[in-house]
Amino acid sequence: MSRFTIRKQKPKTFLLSLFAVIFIFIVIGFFISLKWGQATISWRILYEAITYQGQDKEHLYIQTLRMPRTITAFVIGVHMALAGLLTQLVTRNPIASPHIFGINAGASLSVVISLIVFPSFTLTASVYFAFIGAILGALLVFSLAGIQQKQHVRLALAGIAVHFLLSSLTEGLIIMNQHSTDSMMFWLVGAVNQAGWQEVQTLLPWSITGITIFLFMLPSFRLLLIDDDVALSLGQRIMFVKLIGMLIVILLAGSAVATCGPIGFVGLLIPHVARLLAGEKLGTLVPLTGLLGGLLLVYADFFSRFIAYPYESPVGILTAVIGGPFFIYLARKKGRASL
Amino acid sequence: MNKIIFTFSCLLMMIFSLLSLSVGAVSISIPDLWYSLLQKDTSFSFIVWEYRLPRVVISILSGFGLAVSGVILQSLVRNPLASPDVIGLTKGAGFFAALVIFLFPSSPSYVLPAAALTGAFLVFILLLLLSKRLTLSPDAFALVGIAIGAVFQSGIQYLLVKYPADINMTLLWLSGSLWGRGWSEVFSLLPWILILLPVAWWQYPKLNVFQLGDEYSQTLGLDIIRQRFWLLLLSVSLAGVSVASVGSIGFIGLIAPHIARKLVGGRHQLLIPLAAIIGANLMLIGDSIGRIIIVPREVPVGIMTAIIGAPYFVYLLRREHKRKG
Repeated sequence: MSRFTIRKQKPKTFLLSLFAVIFIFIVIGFFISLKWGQATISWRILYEAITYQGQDKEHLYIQTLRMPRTITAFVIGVHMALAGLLTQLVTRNPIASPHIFGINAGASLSVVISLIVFPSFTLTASVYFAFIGAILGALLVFSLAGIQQKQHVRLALAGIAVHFLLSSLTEGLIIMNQHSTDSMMFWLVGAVNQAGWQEVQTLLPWSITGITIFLFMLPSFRLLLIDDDVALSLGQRIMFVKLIGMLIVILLAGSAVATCGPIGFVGLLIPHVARLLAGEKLGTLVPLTGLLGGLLLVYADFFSRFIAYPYESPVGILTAVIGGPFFIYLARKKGRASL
Repeated sequence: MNKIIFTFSCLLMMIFSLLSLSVGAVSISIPDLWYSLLQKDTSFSFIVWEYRLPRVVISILSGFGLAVSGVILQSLVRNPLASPDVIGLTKGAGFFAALVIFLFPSSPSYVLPAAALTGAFLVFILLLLLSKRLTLSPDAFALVGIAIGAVFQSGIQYLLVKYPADINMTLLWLSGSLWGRGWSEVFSLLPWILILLPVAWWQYPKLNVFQLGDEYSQTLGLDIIRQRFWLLLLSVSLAGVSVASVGSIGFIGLIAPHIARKLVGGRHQLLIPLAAIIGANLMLIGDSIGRIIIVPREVPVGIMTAIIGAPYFVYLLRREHKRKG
């Protein structure tokens, strides 16, 4: 198993320059995301809009549409990547992610139910529904697969079965409510193009809560890198740590799904990339995963505007295009390892 | 005991068939149904003969196909959670069907099933290529299947978002529906099932050996890789023709083998026929309930089978856990 091989810690200068490069790319990503799209905005107007100096149509366009959208994309990316990392740590399963685990689909389903039953619901309220759905999805997967270690494939099969079940129920609800189909499609793929400041406001408290608990629990999460038996014999409450871990996953993934729908594969892909770049040390792995997730989603959102220009495509499709082949690669690699 | 189980499930299939014939937007009493079936000139004859009977036959045939396909796959992968949808077959079929619906909406009606079949076989080829011609472990094979399915799923979603005008028709097809199926669909499905089902049953000795594990099967003289290829091809064909005629119905291929295994154990000579009958039963009851839940509209049978099947499935697996743990 890879987690027993002690990898050489990457030198500090490498890590510092890595973070610097990522930071620069995030800043560039923000700017190009604000500038280009269905309409191109000149740099001067962009500057005025960001500094809130202008009140023209174009300024407002930047301020009320593109800025919240870009921020939402970044935050969602952070959420999904961290939730993915934590899922992989808690389940000790390299192919785990909230998407494959029915968490995203569960959240989606319960939000769609809440929207159909209580059409007047606000976004804030549907976040709670998303949490309930996420918890139910996760419980369903774990009750199907059990929480024994080294059951990677069983867990993946159970997860994907639950995912299909929940998303087919969502599809069913969408078919039954034909008049709302267009806006509901959103709940099957995930997109950030409708996000406004309200979405940012809804998301941020949860990301602050989730990330704070995450950082607070970071020393305990190191336990997840060693075997359960070893941790137990060291006198650690491993189940408690795992429970907190899943709670954070549900907070992060649930709130992300409630605002932007189930954006898949970010949680699977990014932790692996981060691990490849920075090694297993959680102190660097966690911030790197978060930043890379945000980076990926900002750029994915940017490029998704041009797939079917001038129409917008949901960003979830682009992340799936990147993440799907990676998943196949991972499956083959893990399969060979288990032979 | 086994005889009782088989008689009972066959009886259940007849009851469900009658139920499926009699319920719906127009409900027909049993005596009326009887007369309509015998003589073709009663007031209900048209509904019974042209609408409901072909649906019943298609339900049974596709239930057979999906369930047996699931049995074979679960034995191949040696995992009770494998099924045609989990492994990506139905998603591949769905993607190609969606392509036809969106890009060539005016194409004749036989194109859609053909496209779905093509999709299923494309997934088969991808599975072969990506699992190094099936030399990977069954576990890795399952994961590769899941990944392929996920990729096709996002392809489907892309099409749905790109062409929102035909969304309902496609969603209906994707979740699996018997709406509007007639005799022509019956006759395009029937020969395949009639050929493939006996072939599948004849494979029972191999499937029994397969369950034991690779080393055992090799010692017993089975050419694993080649057998895997043929069995997988068989499973893909069964699922492919079924999905082509009813849409990508999930869960039958997962649940029916499971229930059957609980009842008669892992011997495939019994498991295959029983799973087939249970699959047909699930289809029939799903379709019947789907038709009466919100008259005059229909809940697609695929969604009903998921709703009916899922809780039972969870219950089964829970029990299995408790026994093991």
